[in-house]
Amino acid sequence: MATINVVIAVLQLVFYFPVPLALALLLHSLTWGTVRRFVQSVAYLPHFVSWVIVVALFQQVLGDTGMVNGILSDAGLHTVDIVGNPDAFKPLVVAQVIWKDAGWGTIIFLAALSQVDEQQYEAAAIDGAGPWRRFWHVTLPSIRPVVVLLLIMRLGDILSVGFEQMLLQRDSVGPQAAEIIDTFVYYQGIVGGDYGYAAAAGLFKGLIGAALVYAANKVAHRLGEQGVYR
Amino acid sequence: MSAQTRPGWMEKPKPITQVGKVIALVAVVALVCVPFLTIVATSLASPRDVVDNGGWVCGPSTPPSAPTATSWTAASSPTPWG
Repeated sequence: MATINVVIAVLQLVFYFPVPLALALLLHSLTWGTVRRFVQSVAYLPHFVSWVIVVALFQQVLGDTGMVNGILSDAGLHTVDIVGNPDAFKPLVVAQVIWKDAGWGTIIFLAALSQVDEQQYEAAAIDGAGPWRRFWHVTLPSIRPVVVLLLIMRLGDILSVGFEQMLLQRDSVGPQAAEIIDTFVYYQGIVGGDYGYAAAAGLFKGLIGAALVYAANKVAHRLGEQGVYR
Repeated sequence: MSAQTRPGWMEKPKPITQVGKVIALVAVVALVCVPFLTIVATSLASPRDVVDNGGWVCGPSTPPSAPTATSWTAASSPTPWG
């Protein structure tokens, strides 16, 4: 249970966390305002869709009788069941989170990018820095405090990998692939009536989160960053 | 890209960069819009279309109909199963 939790959290940290940053950098680099606003608005949309719809959507696209398998079988190829396959569950969960929240996650990064002083870019360009050098030496250092702050906050929430998302898909892949602390607490405490055990598991999750925030904040201070608190 | 909005110090982007950006943007928009449009198409499709397409209607073969009495009953019900 805790292993699944940690693996999914690490996968989300590695694969989900950079996506909003990359998307924000892409949007920020666009000089055509109309296109930028349109893509931004479209990218925000999935955040407002409930997890029930998102899970149903992925089932309809990647499920046993979904769109992808329809195309594969029409082409005479072997079909693959991604949604019901316990081995593919963790990447699937990360893909769902990316689809749903990557656009929404760009908001903070775009706000940080808009605060970068334009004169720094101009000075760097006059000094002969190309786009990549400007990105590396101006953009990234300017938004580093925000990236570190979000990373610390994400670490504190590392054991919360989406209760609703897991609960909805737990039956299709089985608890051995989709049991996280939150679903365990729900089934043990609410369904099973073992409130003491469930409360202990929930408390354990909170303590781990607090310890991770403390540790990440210390590391941020050591690296010369502001962190969440002093 | 509009040249008017590009600052004077910023060089003109390379064609390969432009193509890469366009591909990335089209991919982002398609990944969001296609599922959304198919949700709308499926919800407006006739029951026959839904059955024929296995539950996922990308383009209804028959024109979409106005919501039926059943749809209004379901929508106005206080609970989904009521």
